[in-house]
Parts: sequence; structure tokens; C-alpha cells
Amino acid sequence: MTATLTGAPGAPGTGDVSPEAAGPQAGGRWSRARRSPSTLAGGTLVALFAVVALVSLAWTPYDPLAIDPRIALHGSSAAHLLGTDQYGRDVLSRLMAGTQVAFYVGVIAVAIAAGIGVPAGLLAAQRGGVLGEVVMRIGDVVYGFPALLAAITLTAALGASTTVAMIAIGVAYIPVFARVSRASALTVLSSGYVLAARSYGRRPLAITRRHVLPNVAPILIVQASLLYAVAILAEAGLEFLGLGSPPPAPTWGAMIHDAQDYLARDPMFTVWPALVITLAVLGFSLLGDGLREVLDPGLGR
Amino acid sequence: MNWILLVGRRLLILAASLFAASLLVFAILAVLPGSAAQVILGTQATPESVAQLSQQLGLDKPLVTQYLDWAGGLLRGDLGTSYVSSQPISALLGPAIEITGPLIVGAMIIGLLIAIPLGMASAVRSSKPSGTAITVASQLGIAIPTFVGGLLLAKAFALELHWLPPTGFPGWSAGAGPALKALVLPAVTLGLAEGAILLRFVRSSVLEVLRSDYYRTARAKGLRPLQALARHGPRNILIPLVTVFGLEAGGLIVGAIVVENVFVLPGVGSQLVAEISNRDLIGVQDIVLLASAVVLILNFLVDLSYRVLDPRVGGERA
Repeated sequence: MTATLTGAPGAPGTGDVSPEAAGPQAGGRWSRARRSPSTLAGGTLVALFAVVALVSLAWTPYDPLAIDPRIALHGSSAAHLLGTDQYGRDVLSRLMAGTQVAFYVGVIAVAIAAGIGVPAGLLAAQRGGVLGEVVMRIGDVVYGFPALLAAITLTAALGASTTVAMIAIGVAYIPVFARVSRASALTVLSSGYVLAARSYGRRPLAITRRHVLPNVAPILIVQASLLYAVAILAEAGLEFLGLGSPPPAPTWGAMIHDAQDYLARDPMFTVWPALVITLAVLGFSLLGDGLREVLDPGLGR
Repeated sequence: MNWILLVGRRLLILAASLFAASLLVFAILAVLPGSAAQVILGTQATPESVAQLSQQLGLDKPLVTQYLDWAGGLLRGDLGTSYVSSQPISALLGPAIEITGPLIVGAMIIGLLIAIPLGMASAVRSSKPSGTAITVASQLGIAIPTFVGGLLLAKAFALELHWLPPTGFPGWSAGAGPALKALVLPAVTLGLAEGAILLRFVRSSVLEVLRSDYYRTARAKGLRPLQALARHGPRNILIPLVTVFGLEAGGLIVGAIVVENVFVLPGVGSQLVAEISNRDLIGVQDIVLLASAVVLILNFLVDLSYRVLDPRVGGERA
């Protein structure tokens, strides 16, 4: 039952494993995805954040780093929709710029977790035996270690940096990706068409590329979406603790860290970044959960 | 006989994991760049004074010797001496654990009190609006960062209603009343976050029971839903719950670090963050290893509990 936590089914059947089935059912998946409220809500939120991140690359209402003490701690106004912070920086601009950081951390964490975890999992599935067992045992040990604690430790050694922290989060999630890809690869490898491919002499690498990867991919997308949520939460936590990017950087967690001193005076400074973090995390985890239901009906929650 | 073998094997694995964790923690902090002596003395320090402090702290010895000094000391109950304050780490850590320990236990209890009844309710009423409402609330509970939850609770119950102190800890010497009062908001903050996570697992395992043949049979025999669930549910719900609890132990500890920071509690987490800023590496090593040890030991107990909870589970975890 650990399976449910990571979304890694112990070995269970993914609804449709054969590539033959994937073709005709793709349309069914899509329409199921559109009817699933979690996928729809999550997808909309994620798309919205992606648009904001792209827009913020080119334009924000004000320079997110521009200081103007004369207008420090002003509430919402026509000029500054969400007000200004203790240095007179525009809160909306900083929130928009923070979106880039949120996507950045997710990319790093997922790239590391999937980049190492998926090959390891596929290798363990292909080779089996002692090697496979060793790979998965190492995974168990790493998985026991809390991700954020690993990030904090690495931060202690290398100095505060978002990239370092996200590498640690990525490393901590390698076992999850390894486990998920191994489990579904094993299902594919035991299927008749793989046996057929083997019998007419296809090499293991070719089998992995042609048959295993396409079938493992959907489940990996689910995991990637869920890890995005974890990475955003973790990054915000580290920023809040002062263990992320150094000060002027516009990050959501750091904004809350600053805002907590003014909680009694004006809670809105805390509420805006809090709302944004919550919506971003909610978006990615709803999308992940929803896609899992669509792609993996057997797992139904 | 079987039992002794099982416990013995699990104990060996636990010891090996603890050893591996200590190596890993030491390696991360010792091998990576940045001399602790240099950081403590600052950039203005002369190379001679850095070398002298390194010698004083034992940082010039070979890494193997350093590791053996540290690990050997741990086995004898000596956690080492802080680089920065020159106090024994154990003297600093003791009072901190007296805060973090109760905080985590309190949060666990609150989390379970939320997760079990609400998770069952949301499963039983999964097709009704009230069930959906609980599920949505738990999604939100997971998405709201703990520090945000803490700040909002502090705003509501401390700054507005003045029921509880907003931050700080008076110390246990001030009496149990004020001390516990200071821990209420932190424990509730952490417990709510934990409860939201656990709730989902309670829900999905209760849903599984509701779809099972034995549940249907029990209903067919005339038991009402809650009766049937009470009869057949607990065992099937406890096993996944215990598993998640083991996996979440790490999350609770990390959550405690954040929550202590929000409420300015001088617990283990606050100490860890302070030691990281000071580069007091011995202290960081001790705390990270302590946290890993707690997680590993809890998971060892979780492994053993499978045998008690489910007679079908053999010597090896299925």
C-alpha cells in the first residue's frame, strides 16, 4: 500500500499497456480527461501560471526589484493593484516574477528525478536479478530520508541556493521515479508482444524504446506533475526559512517571510503570496491526481 | 522462533541503515567545499589563525579519523562540542528536544483525530456533497504550506482573539500550563497539515473496504454500513495507515522545523537553522542524523507492526 503514496502501483496493471491499445484509446483518454473535474481545474491553473511566467519574462507592471521607500507598505491602489512591500516594491510584479522561480524549481527537480530514476528503473526491470534488486534496495534507503531534510543538509554544506536545494529534492525523488517506471516496465515486458519482439531478435534497448517507454510515459507525466507540486512547496519552505535564494530575489516564500513581520498591521501582505503558492501547488497536484485517474483507472481513489 | 529471526533480521537492517545514514551525513558535510574554520573566522582571518582553529577543532585530521571520532563519540553518548559556542551539543539539544518532541507527538495525535473520522466519512459519503466537501478541504490542506497555515492561525487566535500566545516559549520551568499553551497553535498547525495528508489514505482504504466482497456479504447479512465497517474495517484500514505514518515521519520532522520557525520556538528545528547559518557543522550532523534515526526506527516499528496487524504477511514484507 505504500504504492498509493507515490502513485507507484506495486505492479498493477495499467489499464492499457500495449501500444496497439494506446492508439485507438488515446481519443478516449482525452475526452475522459476533459470530463474529469480535477484534471480540468488543475490543468487550467497550471496553464494560467505558465502564461503568467511567460508574460513576466517580458513584462511586469513595475520592476520587481525597484525600491521606493516613499510608498512602502501601501495597500491596494489603482497604481499598485496588490499594494507595495516594506521597501515599496510592487507586490504584483514580485508575485509574477516569482512564477518563473516556481517553474524553474520544478524543472530541475523533475529533470534529476526522472533523468536518473527512469533509466535506473528500466534497467532494473530489463535485467532483473541481483542488479535490479540492488538498484531497488538503494532506492528504498534513499526514500527513507526526508526530501526537505536532504535539501536543508545540502544547503548547510554548499550555502543557501535554490538550485542546490532543488537538486536535493530531485535526488530524493529518484526512487519514486525508479519504482514507478520499473513497475510498469515489468508489466509491459511480460506481455505477449514483447515476447514476440524478443523472439524475432529485437535487442533489449530497442524493445525499451519501442514498447516500454511509450507505455511508461503517461505514468511519468503524472509523477512529474505531483513532483512539481512538491518542489514548489519545498522551495517556498526553504525560502521562508531563509535557506533559499539570497534576499532581493522575488520568490513567494521569501515574500511571506518578509510579510510575517507585518501580520498584525496588514495581513494582506501575507495573504497574496500565500494564495499564489496554494493555487500553484493545488494546480499541479490536482492535475497529477486527475491524470492518474484518467490514465490509470484501476487505481481509482 | 520465527519472531526472533524476523526481529533479528530487521534489527540488523536497522543497524546497517543507521550506519549508512551516518556515513552519508558525514560525507555530505565534510567532503563538500568550504572550511568550517574559515567560515567561523570570516574572510578577514589570516591563514595562520584558520590553520590554528582547524587544528583546535580537529578539522586537520584525516577524514576517516574525523568520522571515527564523531561516530565513536555518538556511540558513547557524546554528541561533540559546538564549534561556535564551545558548549557540548547535548546540552543544547536536550532542552530543544523537550519542545520538539511534544510538538510532534501532539501533531500526530491531532492529525489522526482529523484523518480517521473525516476520512471514513468522506469515503462513506463519497457520492454526496458532504463527502466531496471533505475531499476538497483535504486537497486544500495539502496545498497550503505549513508556514502559511501557521501564520493564519496565529493571526486569528493570537493577534485577533488573544486566546493563545502568538510566538515564543516560556520554558517548562514556567509551569506546564503556559508551556503547553505555547505549543497548542504550533501543534494544531502541524496536525492539520498532517491530517490532510493522512485523510486521503484513510479515505482510499475505506473505499477499498466498501468495494470488497466481505463488506457486501456483511451488509447482506443485515449489518448496517457503520456496523459492517466497524467489524471488518479496522484491520484493512490500519495497515495502509501505519505504512503512510512511517513514510510521513520524515515529513512531520521537517514540518516541525518550519513550524518552530513560524512560532519562534527554540526547538530542534530552530537550532538546526541557526547552526546552518553559523556553519556549526557538528551540530548540523548530529541533528540530521538524529532525525534520520527517528525516521528509520519508526519505519522499523512499522515493519514489525505488519506482522501483528496482518497475519498473512510473512517474514518478508510483501
